[in-house]
Amino acid sequence: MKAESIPRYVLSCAMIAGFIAIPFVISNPYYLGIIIVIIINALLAVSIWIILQTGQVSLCHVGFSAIGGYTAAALVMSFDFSFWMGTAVGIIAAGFASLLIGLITLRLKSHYFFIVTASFGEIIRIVFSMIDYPFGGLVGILNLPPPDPIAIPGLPAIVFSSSSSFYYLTLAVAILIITIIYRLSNSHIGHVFRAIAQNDLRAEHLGINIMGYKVMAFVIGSMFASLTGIIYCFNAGCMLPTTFGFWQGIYCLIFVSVGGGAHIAGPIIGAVFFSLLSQLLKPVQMFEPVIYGLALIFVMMFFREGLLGGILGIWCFLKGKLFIRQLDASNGIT
Amino acid sequence: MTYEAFLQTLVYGLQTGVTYILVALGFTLIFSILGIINLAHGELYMLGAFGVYYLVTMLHLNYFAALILSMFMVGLFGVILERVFFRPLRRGSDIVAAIIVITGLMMVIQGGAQIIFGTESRGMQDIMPGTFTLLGARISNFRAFGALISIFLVIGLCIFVYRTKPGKAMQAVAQNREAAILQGVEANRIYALGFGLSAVLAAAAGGLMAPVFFVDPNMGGSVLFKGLCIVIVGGIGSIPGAVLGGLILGVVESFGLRFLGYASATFPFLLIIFILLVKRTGLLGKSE
Repeated sequence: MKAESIPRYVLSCAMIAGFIAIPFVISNPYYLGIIIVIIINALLAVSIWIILQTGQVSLCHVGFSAIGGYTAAALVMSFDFSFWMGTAVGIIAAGFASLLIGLITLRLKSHYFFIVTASFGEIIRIVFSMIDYPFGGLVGILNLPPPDPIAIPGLPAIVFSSSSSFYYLTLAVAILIITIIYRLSNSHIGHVFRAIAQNDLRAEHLGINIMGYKVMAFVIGSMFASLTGIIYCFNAGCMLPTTFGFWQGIYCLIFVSVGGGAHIAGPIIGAVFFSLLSQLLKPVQMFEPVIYGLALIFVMMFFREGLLGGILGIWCFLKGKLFIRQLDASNGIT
Repeated sequence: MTYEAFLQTLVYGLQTGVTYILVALGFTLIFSILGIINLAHGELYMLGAFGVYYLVTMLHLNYFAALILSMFMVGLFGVILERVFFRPLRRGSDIVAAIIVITGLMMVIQGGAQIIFGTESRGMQDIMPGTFTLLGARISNFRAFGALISIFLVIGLCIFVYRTKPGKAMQAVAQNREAAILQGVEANRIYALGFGLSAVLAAAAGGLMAPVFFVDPNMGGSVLFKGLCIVIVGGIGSIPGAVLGGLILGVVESFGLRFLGYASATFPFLLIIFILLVKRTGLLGKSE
């Protein structure tokens, strides 16, 4: 372990410990529910971020959440699967769907890809709302049970009936997804993704199979989106056809862009910021879209690199000032 | 299916298609000149409809005066939007940033409309009650009239774009901005003009639909995807393409609704996917 990476490990461990401590501080299930939704939003943002690294703007991202959520919910409700089996099948189904859609659409670029994925997202939503059995048609699937208990021999069974236990499940999934995506984006593969985004022609001339890497990013991001969708619908206790539509897809992009796409912390900051903003605006519901929209415009017009870029910019500015002052001091200027 | 039913469905589809064309033309204008997908285009349509509704019901204006006034006001609003929000966006080529600012704009316009106009749907009195029969198909007077106005506007736009100097400058900017500027075209003026025209067309479509459908602040969303579909099917930047695409979508939707019901909601999206995968430039678009 390098010396400079030690503070980073300490920081991560401290953050995880802080998140583990949350249910002890906040026992109100309502607030815990809000925190779960914020984590889910952050996971959606992080999982679309890895696709955005290749320069492709996918709008059927939450469509895969819908595929995962619907598959798992239908298997649990109509076919007596356990939650864990349903989740596994849901993720695999979304993986195959994303592989298929990715292979068809990833030849297209920029606006064309954006439009074609938006169309696929809408088709997924409409198709699910058309099938009455087992997907519940326009009503959706209601009254989902909590995840099945995990029985480990010699230990008391882990049950997921309370909101704090569901919070820990969400947290475990979050740590898993964020760690994998962070590792991936810092690996050789992550560098290839960014090379494709910068200049795909050059990347291709360097011998990179750009289609393969694009499909890879698309499938990985979409599978994590489906896992997030499953967590979301079992947390809410229902899977509605309106849950994952066009605008939820746009919200994922908003989280990434407003947070800043340069680092994995950006999408998380964006998701937390805008989830909290919409919670704060709950009492003035009527003005919510206007204030939300103005906040979006403000951030995007004045902080092109997102909130993270803004924070880093201010940090560098202060640091630079400090540096200049030290320089001045060492030169005898006060 | 009887001949009458077939004809009726066809005529209904064509009537709807003609109004879609106006929306799509505004969409394609912005897309080809500014290179931006204007997700807020449906909101301009909504504002046009509300303009006509309020001018007619509250100020008791004549419908035609209301339509023209509403088009003018929304056009002016479009020019202001271009100057304040879209002009700074164009310099960066970041597609996500553009989408997000436009989404914010959409939320502000739609949310503002909900606050000012209220969320309930309102109906308007029919301007020209009655129907007539043409070759066995019943057509309402107002929808026939609306289709005529739409055709008139499309011809007007064609003359403007292909025959006048500002229109030709617009084409030049759409083809190659730098080259057009070198030829002495003031690109910024063209952007404002294009955006204004696009807003005027959207408002005209909204105003023509106001007496037919209900008017409410969320009406813009459904038009958005239809406009997008027509632009893709016809070819980005092509006026004849938008006309053809609009008629195709209108007829396909009309028959789909009759035979398949709710499943026909997927048709615009299936059309988009099919066209983008088979011929990305659309039916009448220029090849890249």
